[in-house]
Amino acid sequence: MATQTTEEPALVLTPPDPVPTVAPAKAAGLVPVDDTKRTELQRRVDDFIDQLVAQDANSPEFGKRVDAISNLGAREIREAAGQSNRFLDRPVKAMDQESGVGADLAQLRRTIEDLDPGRQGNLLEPKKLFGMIPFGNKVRDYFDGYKSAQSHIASILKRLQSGKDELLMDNAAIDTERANLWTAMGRLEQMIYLSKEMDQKLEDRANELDHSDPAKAKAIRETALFYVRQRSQDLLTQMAVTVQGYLALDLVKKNNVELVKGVDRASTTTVGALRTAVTVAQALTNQKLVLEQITALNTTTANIIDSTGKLLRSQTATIHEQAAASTIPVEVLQRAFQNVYDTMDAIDTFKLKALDSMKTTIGTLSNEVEKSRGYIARAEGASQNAQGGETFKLEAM
Amino acid sequence: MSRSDEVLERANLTLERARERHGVVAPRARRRREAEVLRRLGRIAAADGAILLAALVFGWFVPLGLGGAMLVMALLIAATALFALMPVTREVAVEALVQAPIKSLPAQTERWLATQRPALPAPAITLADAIGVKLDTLSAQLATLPDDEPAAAEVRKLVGEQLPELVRGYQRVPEPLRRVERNGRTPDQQLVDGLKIIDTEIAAMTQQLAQGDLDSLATRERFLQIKYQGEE
Repeated sequence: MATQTTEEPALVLTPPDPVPTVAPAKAAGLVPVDDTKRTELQRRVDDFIDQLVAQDANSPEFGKRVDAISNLGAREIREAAGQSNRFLDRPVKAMDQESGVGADLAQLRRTIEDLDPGRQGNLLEPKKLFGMIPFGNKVRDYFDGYKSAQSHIASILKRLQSGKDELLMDNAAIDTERANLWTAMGRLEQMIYLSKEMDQKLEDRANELDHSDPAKAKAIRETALFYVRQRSQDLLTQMAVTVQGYLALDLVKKNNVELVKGVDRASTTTVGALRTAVTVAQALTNQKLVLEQITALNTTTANIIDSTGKLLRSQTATIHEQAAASTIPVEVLQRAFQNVYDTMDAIDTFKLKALDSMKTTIGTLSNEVEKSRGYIARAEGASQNAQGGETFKLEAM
Repeated sequence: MSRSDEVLERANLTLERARERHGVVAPRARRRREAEVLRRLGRIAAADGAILLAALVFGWFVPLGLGGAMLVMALLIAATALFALMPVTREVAVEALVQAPIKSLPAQTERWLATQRPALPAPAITLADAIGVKLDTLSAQLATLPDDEPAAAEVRKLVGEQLPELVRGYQRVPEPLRRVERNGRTPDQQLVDGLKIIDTEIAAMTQQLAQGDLDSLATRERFLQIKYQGEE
């Protein structure tokens, strides 16, 4: 059938998969630390351990350095944690169906349904008063309906466009947030590297001291090494949470991208249906259906969405041909409406699936954030104890 | 090194030290002083102009005579003296810093810190100047920050309490003891290290306060890329 050619490729919106739980053990190594930084960190660790070992195990200086270890990475953790409080906002906001684009799409669907030629009965049947006396023209009345609906549709489409801008803005904000997170993750990664180095070297040094100075070896194992391992665990846990948040932001972004595609397609198919109506009206009733508001909108929409716009233009030519040639132009119109419905159905199924992904993600994420709260409190306490005094440069660059 | 080189070197060091102490006396302090002088000159000019105008108008109707002229002269001198000396710029008291509104707090602390300069050891002076510059930036940022914001409380604690307390604590230590080592460190060192921490903390606060603005600028730019260049 000739109408087949007007069919656009089916709209497929893929909902992104939910973010998996990231195990703390696997969280390290996701962000690269470059070699110059590695050597610098190694140097810091060596300096620190040399100084530590040089002190008497009972001196306040030794204690001060151990305190510095218990405070290791506190700033980096605080930074990353501060951002993780905002992780949850975005997915939760993205799930809010009743506002913005979702509401506008629902309204567009209702308006389009009112115009659906399939719901008007047989349009070509002569209209009769009391079912007997021929009165007026059903087709003409039907196309008059477009004129009254056009300003409403135009305003919905305009709102959809600004809704789309909001989604894009959201994505831009997500990109900024992700860039910040990436930096925070880089610093965490450096601290993880530093704590691992420290762990290894303290262990080696304690083994060396076992013979010459067993008391110091014991002090190193029981205080310094103990704190290093504790802090390593804290750093890894925070890293896991941050990585998960990073992935969750990506999920929201992908979601938005798909939704933008949906909005674009809904706008073009709607405009396409209205244009078809104009042509069909010409063919059926020989009346010129003037939908200035939609035509004006059509040009802007087509300009904004270039690829679909092209599709739309080539489509118009075919519609023209078909409407003129076809004996049943109403069917062509019907098909145009079906396009709109298909788009909206695709969006609806997408949203349902995306909602699932989002819920799962929020679940895992809030679990992890909750888990990390405990040691953040510990880190806060430690950093308050360590006000003033010498700083030992145990921080990321 | 030849002898002349040595002499030159020493002269340079002395010059540097002198510059540190007096030369660059925080350009902001000088600017403030110049502005104050201009303000006073303006006031004097306005007052004298008003007196002369009044005398002119009065003399139009009633001849002033010699006594009147003398009176006008006396008035001019009195007004000039009054406005040259009168609104005494009060020294910022440390106690007042605690109650100062957050918007003017950094500026007041900066003024107070500038008056403390002579009492500080040389390395602390450079730091105090650096802190002054940072406080300047901070003041601009705080202009729109509400008083009851948690960030404001943090700034107040650091700039209004910790900084003055540190400097005053140092000043309470008797002069000869300031360079005497105690538990491995001298009070001079402790002051300098404390000021260093405050310096970095103020810088961190500035950065934190600017975070939102930095983010929104980056976001806006990214939005333009996404919308008009079709990036994803």
